[in-house]
Amino acid sequence: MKRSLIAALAVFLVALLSGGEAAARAKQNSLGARLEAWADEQSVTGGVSYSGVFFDRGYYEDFFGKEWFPLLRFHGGWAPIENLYLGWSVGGMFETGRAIGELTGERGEARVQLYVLPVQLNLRYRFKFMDNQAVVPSVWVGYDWWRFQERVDREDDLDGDKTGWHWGADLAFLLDLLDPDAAAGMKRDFGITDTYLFLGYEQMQVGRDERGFDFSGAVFMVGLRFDVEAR
Amino acid sequence: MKTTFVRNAAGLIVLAACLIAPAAGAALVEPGHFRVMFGIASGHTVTDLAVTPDDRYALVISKEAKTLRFIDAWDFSLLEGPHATLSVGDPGEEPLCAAVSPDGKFAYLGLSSGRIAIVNLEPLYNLLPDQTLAENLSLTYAEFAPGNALSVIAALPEVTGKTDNVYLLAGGAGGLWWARLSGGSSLAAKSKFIIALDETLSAARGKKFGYALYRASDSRYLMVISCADNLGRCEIASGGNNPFWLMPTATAFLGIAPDPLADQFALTMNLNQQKLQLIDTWPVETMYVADSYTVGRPAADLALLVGTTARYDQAITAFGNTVTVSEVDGSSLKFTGGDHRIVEPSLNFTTLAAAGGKDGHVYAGTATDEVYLVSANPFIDDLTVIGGTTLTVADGVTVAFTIRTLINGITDYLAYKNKSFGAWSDPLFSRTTNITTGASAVSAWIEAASLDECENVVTVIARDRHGQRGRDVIILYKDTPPPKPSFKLGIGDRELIVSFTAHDPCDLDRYEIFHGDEALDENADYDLIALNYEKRTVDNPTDGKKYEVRIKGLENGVRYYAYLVIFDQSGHRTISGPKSAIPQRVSTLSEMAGEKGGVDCLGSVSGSRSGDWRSAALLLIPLFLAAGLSVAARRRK
Repeated sequence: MKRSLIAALAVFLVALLSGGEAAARAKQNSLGARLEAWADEQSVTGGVSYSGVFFDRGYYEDFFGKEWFPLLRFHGGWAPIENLYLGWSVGGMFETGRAIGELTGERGEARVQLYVLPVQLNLRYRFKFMDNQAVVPSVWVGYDWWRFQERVDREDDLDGDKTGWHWGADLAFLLDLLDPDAAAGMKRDFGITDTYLFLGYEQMQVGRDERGFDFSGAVFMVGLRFDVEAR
Repeated sequence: MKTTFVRNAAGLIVLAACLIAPAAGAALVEPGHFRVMFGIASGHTVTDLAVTPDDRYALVISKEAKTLRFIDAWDFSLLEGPHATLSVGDPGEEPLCAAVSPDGKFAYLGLSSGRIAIVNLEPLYNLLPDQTLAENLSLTYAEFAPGNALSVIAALPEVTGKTDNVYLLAGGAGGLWWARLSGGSSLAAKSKFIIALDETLSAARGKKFGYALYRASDSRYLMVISCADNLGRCEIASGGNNPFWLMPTATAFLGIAPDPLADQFALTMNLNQQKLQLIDTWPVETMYVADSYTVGRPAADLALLVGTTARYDQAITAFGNTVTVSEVDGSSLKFTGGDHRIVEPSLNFTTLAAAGGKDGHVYAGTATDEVYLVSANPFIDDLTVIGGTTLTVADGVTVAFTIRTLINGITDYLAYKNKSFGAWSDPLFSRTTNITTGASAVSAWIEAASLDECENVVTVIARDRHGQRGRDVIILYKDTPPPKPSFKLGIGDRELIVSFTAHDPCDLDRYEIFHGDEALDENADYDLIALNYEKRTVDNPTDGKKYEVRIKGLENGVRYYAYLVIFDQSGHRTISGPKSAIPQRVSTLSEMAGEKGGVDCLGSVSGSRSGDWRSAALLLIPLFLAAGLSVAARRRK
């Protein structure tokens, strides 16, 4: 574990040194050249999604007066083995409401703002077995770390984090088939080999066994995914 | 409020005389419809006049007092106030003439030293008739023709009609100069016309061209001048040095009044023969005297009034106690209908400026300090408000006035509230009267509901069947109780929070907040509320500002009642409806969830919140992926 961590850190540092003059020096470095050659052989992916989150706990709905909460996320991933991706996502969620009277349930004047920053790591398998496969299902499971902050008028902010896990599945529809010319342009200009529209579902267990916020719930998402395949 | 009308009794006598032969049945405006209406005391001797393009202001300069003053044509009164009179020039330097830029933003005064004074007029246009300038108009100077007194001046647009830059023609006994002013105020170029000039007698603007009447040796010439941005200069429009020769030796000419609508013709006056000359100025290479008309009287100044509703244009000259209106057919270039003479025995006219357009007024300056209005338009006389100008809780007011005109027939009268000058729409009332004897006393009701709280500038306009307008202004004050205020009553732990947004119709004084735990009658009045409830006051509230007043020290679980009362400066007050709430503990989301917060070093995959370095290591994976993507992307490029 320790060795693999050191190797990963080396990759990261070399990547940082690959800009501007540093890039020129790195090219002359045999280790750097080897790493670049290695990078060329990798398949990576990225994307963005818009989700509706349905929390299991009822206090979110009681407090904010809405059943589901929008979540915007950016995704990335790397496939060390064909169809098996190590993935990540970073997102943001913001809600505002007013404090609730404990006696009558009336809204108080104090305004409450909740900021949530979910970070996810996961392992995803895609069921893709041919080029230009029109529909690609995938499933994944992963780790969650949710950072949150609650701001209340004239009071100190409350910060914290929650951890947990999730699993999910989606169906990705290959958009390249709809417009091959645009797909060719994406490949030529940006190196993007496949563009997908995906619809997915995710089940989260975040903070379930802890005291306080429980972010467990179901997520319905729609998004765009861009693949850069190995050469 | 400007109130310096000096109603000219003599003018009204002439008007009455004209009524003996009313113009009933006349098809259009004729010379006989003109009269000298009334004088406005400018406070200083009048040297020259100019009018802004929108007809809003007449500029009055006084050589002796070295001042520039303004007559507001909205209510035909002198602009007053501490900043209304602009002193012009250094010691030993006098203003001699005035012109206004084609877009109306700047005034230019020719000075006896050869300098030009440039005045920014823009602050004037935002004023309502009862308002005064908050500070002096900006005044700058530019060297123009050092050592040469500038007695004539004209401000032109670029020859295509663009007004981004202004071209000035100015001169006097020393010749004629032109200058280009970037943005209308910054001197960018200047030069003297190189043809032999002894003296420039007059300079004026048509639509896009400039016109200069001058003397060279003993002959008089007319020069049409165009100024072009692409050339960056002014030059004689006819090409080469080919001005139009008017008359030979010993014939004196006065003034030049070009066609402001199309540059088709220009008027000048041969003083020796006491006759007007109508010059066909287009094309400029073949100018000729198209017609002449013997006025038979000398003239101190000359103006051309191009009325869109007149049968023909009107050439107006003034000298001594007489104004002469002569009819000109600008399309066939003929003097057509003779003239009409208005004699004012007590006056001595010395200068003229035509406003033109729908307003159709000519301003005539006298040797004293008065400026008289010469016009065929109807005008409003004796405008009064029955029952006073301050409305309290009344339903409205009646305004009464007399419409005077020499054009009998159907005449509209309307009133407008707080409009900008000339933007006459959505009248407070619109009525019609049939005038048969030159005057009609009318009245109209103005609903209080249609007026704003506090001050209302009400413009009353009479409009004859040709669309020619006269107007006057009256200020109405509406002082009624403020509208019912509204507020929110929020709850907190042992407190209530009253929040509201201040609304100031114009005379807001304060808000009072009352609270108590006893429910009052639904129709409780102020005295009852004040007797039973505790009061908090918000003094000097700002319009549009949100206020939040926390009433602390209350008992949780007890219902409290609150009222908001608004006061205006006259003591009028209006009470809101009551609101009630129960102070109590309130929960935030974290309190509802039992969340205490705390960041535990990223947590742990095992569920423990003690912190686990392996979790931290896992979170670095996205960074490694990003690095890999970056390298791959660079490589592909």
